[in-house]
Parts: sequence; structure tokens; C-alpha cells
Amino acid sequence: MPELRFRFEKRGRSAYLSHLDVMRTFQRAFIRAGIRLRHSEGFNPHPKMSIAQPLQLGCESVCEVLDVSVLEGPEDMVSPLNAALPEGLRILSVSEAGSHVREIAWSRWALTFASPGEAERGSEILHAPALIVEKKTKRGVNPLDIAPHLRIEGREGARLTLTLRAGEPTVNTGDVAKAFAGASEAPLGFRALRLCFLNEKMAEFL
Amino acid sequence: MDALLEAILPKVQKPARYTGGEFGEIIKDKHEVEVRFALCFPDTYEIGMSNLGLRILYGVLNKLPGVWCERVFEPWSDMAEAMTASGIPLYALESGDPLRDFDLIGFSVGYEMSFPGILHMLKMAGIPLRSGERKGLTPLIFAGGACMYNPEPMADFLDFALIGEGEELDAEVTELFRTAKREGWSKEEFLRRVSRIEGVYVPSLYDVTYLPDGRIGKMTPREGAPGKIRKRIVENLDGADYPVHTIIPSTEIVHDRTMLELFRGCIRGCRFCQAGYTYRPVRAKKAETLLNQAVEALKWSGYEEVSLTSLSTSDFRELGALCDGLLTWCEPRSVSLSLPSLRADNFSLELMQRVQKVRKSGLTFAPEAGSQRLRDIINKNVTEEDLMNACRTAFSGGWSSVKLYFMLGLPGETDEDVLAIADLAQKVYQVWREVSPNRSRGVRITVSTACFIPKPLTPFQWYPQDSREELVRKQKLLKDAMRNKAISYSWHAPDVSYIEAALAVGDRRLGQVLEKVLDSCGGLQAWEEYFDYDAWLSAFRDSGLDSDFYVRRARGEEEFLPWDLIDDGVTKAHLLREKHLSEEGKVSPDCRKQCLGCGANRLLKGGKCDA
Repeated sequence: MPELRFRFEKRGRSAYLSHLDVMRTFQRAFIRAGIRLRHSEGFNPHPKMSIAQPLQLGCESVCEVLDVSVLEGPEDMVSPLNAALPEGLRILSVSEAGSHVREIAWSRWALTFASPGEAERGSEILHAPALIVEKKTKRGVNPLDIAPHLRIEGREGARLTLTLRAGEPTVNTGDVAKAFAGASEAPLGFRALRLCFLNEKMAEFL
Repeated sequence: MDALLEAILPKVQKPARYTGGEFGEIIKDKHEVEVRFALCFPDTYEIGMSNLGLRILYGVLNKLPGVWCERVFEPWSDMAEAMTASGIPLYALESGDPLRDFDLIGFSVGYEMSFPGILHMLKMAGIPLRSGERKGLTPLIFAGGACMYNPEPMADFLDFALIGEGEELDAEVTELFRTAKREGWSKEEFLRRVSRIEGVYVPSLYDVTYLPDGRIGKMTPREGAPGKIRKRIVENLDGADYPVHTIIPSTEIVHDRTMLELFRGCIRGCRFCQAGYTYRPVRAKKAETLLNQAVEALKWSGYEEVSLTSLSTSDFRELGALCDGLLTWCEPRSVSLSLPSLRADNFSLELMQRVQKVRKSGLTFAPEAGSQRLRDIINKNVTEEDLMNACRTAFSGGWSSVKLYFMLGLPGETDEDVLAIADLAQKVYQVWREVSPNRSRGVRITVSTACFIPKPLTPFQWYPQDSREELVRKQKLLKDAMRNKAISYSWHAPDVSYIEAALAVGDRRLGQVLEKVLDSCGGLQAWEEYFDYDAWLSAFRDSGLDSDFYVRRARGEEEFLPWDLIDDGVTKAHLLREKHLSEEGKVSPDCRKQCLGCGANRLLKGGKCDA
């Protein structure tokens, strides 16, 4: 069987699973569902699977991408897998792996605030010409202006839709929270839901 | 999920420990259930979820119609602080409902140092600590597990303690509570009635008098409570519930694998070992039952490792057949099999090579004492020759790492016995030099010593513990005697062992000490990061109690001991006989060679034990 791409959502309580937890959980779910994965060679073989753009702890998503190399499995893999997953993790679809995950250039997010007023305040802050946040990289902590890497798509009630750069550099909702913290006296809390990935041409990544 | 909780979860370490929602979790409609049962573990999620007993009880209780059993663990300090700061009370993982709203709150306690954890959890739940301060029928606070063979240090806090195995007992107590709730009994009425269920101990129904020197005079039952509380056991383990469809955590836990319990009890009779006595009589499962359970559990879990658990795995009669059967299923599926708790005297290389095809993990043996003289005193019937043979086999089979476990401060121990540990390690090294097929790889010999702790219901329950200074001196003596770079040495801190001993043999006056420790240290006293020796010592002092009275005093054979009401099946006469044999340096044969009449067989219908 070829490389397969599973789309899954991570919602509710599963938002607090770390990337490693999710990998481990899928690994066991595949076994429970009777799906055999190709393993790496070597002294300590592990199943070949990868998740694009790991989510930060606490964020939810409806567009996660899991690529695996399947050796054998039933015709319908989605329902046995869903029966084998914990609350909040759910397979939405499976297809042959299409474009390479390296083509992911942007991610779109819905941020939900406590009130429409707070969402508006958030939107105002993000409209500033420059948004400098401290960014931790392998080379240490450096300031980064996230304004050029962020687009405000619109606001509907307490919900703000943003598009963030995913790649060089990657901007995540934690950086957005830092921008709020730097510009606002009162804390601005929100729940983050990743809606989709986009490629460089702003078309949905499939 | 609660918004306050959502706000703190991203800020704490490993938040998946606090959310529930794992595969296999049991969710019921709370409006449809009659009894809410909180199964609590006074340590972290990772430790608690590794406990097979907890999983068994979770399954058993949730099988009862109208009963919903949920889990509660002790949060790590960062989470505990964040919860307190946000005003979030301790909650159960399944429903997220506050612990204080539950009917039955039962703690599984396997380690004395987690006693403060129980109090910490009650405090975080906003539940009054002392049994007497809780007037209503609910919540009822109780505990079971290995530490309840001496429940006395917890007597002020627990409404009752469950003695022995919980599969049947917990269900009976739950059913009695269901009736109490339906009929609106008072708490006093319930406690009176529950005390008549075999295996239930209600501390408040016993009056304790003390002698002028501080020893217990007597403990007298009131209101029809029994004079002896006999431990409960499950007679037929083949028919007992085994949690096949158990919870599989998404986040990593300590024992992240399928655990298969081969048998309960132990035929050996090491005189320091509490489990070796309190888990009697020996009851084995059939290999066939185990094989079916293992396959089902592995299919359900998706785990890639199964571990055989028991006190002494190599004493399982059908071990060969079981391993054959398991390997036939496991090998093609890349599932590995691990065999802890092997003895040096019946170690089989063939077996080890078969089970460890994938990974060659290290081998561990527990001679417990360095000299034959001292091994005879403790009745660890393993000879130096056994150990050397096992190591010879292992090293020639390609193993290059061995761990050796010992105890310091055993009754009758001399400096020669301590130094004999170093000799033994050196001899193991020599064996490696003689037989290793690949000497260039080197060898790792790890010697670990724990401190002897007198435990209730063992032949050594009357002995004191060595002083802290003496234990430190012996550790140094041993360390200085082992100069070989291939031999490394690690030891348990005597500070923790001292407090552990006080709690193990303590009486109900220790309640005040536990409360003071809660105030000064919080819970998590089983963790080095939070254990505070000085805080414990001041808690004893401020309670007007002398910790040395508990730890450093030899108890008299005629003395009334705090756990004398508890009957685990083994008679005091047998424990005394074993103590006297140890004083003469004489060994006792294992139960298979000869029945010593310990008395535990009386717990079985027909009185025939399966040793």
C-alpha cells in the first residue's frame, strides 16, 4: 500500500496531548485497528509516521495531517481507527499522500475570545504596523516582528480569523498571545482552533 | 471543560495527566447512576495508572449497575498550586466533577510515604480531614491496599479501611452503601453495619488505651465491631476479573505495558518481606487463562510489551508453557515479553534468551545480604553458588550488565556482612572475566542497598531499625570497599527509610504528625524533591511524640502491636517461630518443600493452599 495521508481533528480534552503523546496514541490505535505500518530499519525499529506542523499544547484543530506508510489494513480504515482513538482525536478522511508537507506555507486560525469586545481589541492590537515578540530558536531568544507574517481575515462576534506564516519563520498562536500581552494592560485570553493549511499561493493544502 | 481549568492547563507540566478522556475510560450518565465512587491514588497519574490493582477495581466497580467509578490522582506541585490559586477543587478525571461531591472516596495505598498525599488530596477537595469532622453519610473516606495491614497511623482520618484483596470486598461495601443511601441511614449506622462485613476495619469503633511508657495497653471493640479483622482474598484467580478492557493512557506512564499477574502469594518466606506474608496463600492462575487474557489485553491496548508480574516469577509452575504460548503470539507481532522478579537459584538462560530476542535488557538479582550467614538469618534461600551460576550463565550468554540488590541494617548484621556485599560483587566481576565471550565490551555491575524497615505481619516486625548514623556508616564502609570501576554503588537515603519505618509500625497517635507534615510540606512526600526530613522530625516533636520510640525500639514479643487486630491469615505463632529460627541462624524450607503451617491456608475453603 502507498503512503497514506490521514486528516484528523484534535479537539476538547485531547488538545492537551503533546506531539509525542499523539504519535504514541496513533501508533497504538493503528495496532488496535489491525493496520500494520511499515517500520524503520535499524536497532530500534519504529513505525514510519509523521505529523505536519505539531500543534502547541492547548490548541485545537480540524485539519491535522498524518502521513503514514501502511503495509496492510482493512478496506475501510477510518471507522476502526476512530473506534481505537481516545476522546477528541478523530479521523476525518484518508487519501493517498498528495503534495509534500513542505509546501505548507500558511495556517489559518480561529481565535475565540471571551466577548466580541475582546476580539475587537485583539484585532486592533494586531493591526499595528509592527508587532515585536521574543522568539525562542535554536540560536537563542531573538526579537521578531510578526506583523508581516500575519493576516487578519475578519472578525465575527467573539471570533477572530487569522492567517499565520508556517515555515520560515513559523508564527504560532503563542506568538499572537505574546503580542497581546505586550500591548494590552488587561490579559486577552482566547481559544485557538486551526482551520486549515495553505500553500504559498494561498490555496488550501491537500 | 471548565474555563478556569482551561486557563491553567497549558501552563503546567504534562497537562494530559489532568484531563482524562483516554481510550478505555468509562463514562456513564451521572443522572442515571445511584452511587458515585472515586477511586483515588495518593501519587501522580503516571504512578497510579501503572498500578494493576487500581485497574482491576476500576473494572470491577464499573461493572456494578448504577455505580460509576472514576479516578483521582494527586496533582504535581505546579498543578496543585495553580488549582489552589484559581480556586479549582480537586476533581475526578472522568466527569470533571469535584471530589467532595462523591459518595464513596476510596484510596489505594501501597506506600506509607503517600499517607500525607491522602490528606493533601482531601484538603484540595475541601473535605474535612478527620473522620469525626465529617458528620453526614457522604462522603465516606476509606482506604485499601498493602499499607492497610497497619491502618492505625491513618485511623483519625479514615472512616474505614479495607483489609486484603478488593475484588469482592469493594463491591460488597458499595452495595451496602447503596442500601444506606436508599434508606437514609446515618453515618454511625452505616459504619456499624459495614464493620460486620469481613475485611472491614472501622477505627472509630475501637478504644485504645496506652501504658505509662507509651506502648499500647489494649484496643477494645465497641458496638459489635469484631475483635479481629480478617483479610479478604479471592479464592479462584482464574475466575476473578482481570482488566482486559482497561484504560490506555495517551501520555507516558511508568509501566506502559500490559501487566499479567501470574499468581498471588509467595512460597519463599523471606523474613523481612511483608508482601511475602500478607499476599498468602499462594493462588496461581492457569497458563491457559493467562494466555487468553494476555492476547485479549494486547489486542485491546495496542501495547507492544507484556510483563509477567508476581512476587517471584520463576516460581510459577507453568512458566515454560506460558512463555511458549505467549511467544508464539507475540513474536510475529513484534511484541516483547519481559520477566522481572527472577530468582538466582532457578534462573534459566534458555528462557531468558527466548524472551529477550529483541532487546537484551539488564539482569537483576536480589541476594539481599552479602554473607550466607545473614542470608540464612533472613531466610533468603539463595546461595553464593546459585548467584555465581546464574551470572556465569548470563555472562557467557552475552549479558554484560547485572544489578544486585541488598539491604543494610538487617537484624544481626555485622561489618563483616556488609563487606561481604563488596566481596560478592567482586566475585561476580571475576566470573565475568572468566566467561565473557566479549571482554572488550566491558561489564556493568550495579550494587544497590536499601535500608531494612521493620514491616507489620512479618517475623521481623519486632526489630528496630538501625540508627541513621549507623546506616550512613555502613554505606560508607561498603562504598570504600568497592574500588573496582566496573562496580557502581547506589543507596537509599536513610532519612526516608527512618520515616517510612515510623509510619509502617506506627499507631493512631501519628495522625497529628501527618497533619503537621501536610501543613509544612503538602503531599508528594514519596518524592525526593518534596520530602523534608526536618519537617517530619519537628512534626513528631511538636506532637509530643518520640520518633525513636517507633523506629529504634525493639518491640517485645508479648507487646500489643498497633496492627494486632488485623489477621492476614498467618498466625503470630508462626511469625514468632520464624523469628526464633532466625535468631539461631536457621533457615526454613520453602512452602513447596514442606508446609510450615503458617495458617494462611485457613483462608481457603477446604484449606488447601496452591504452593
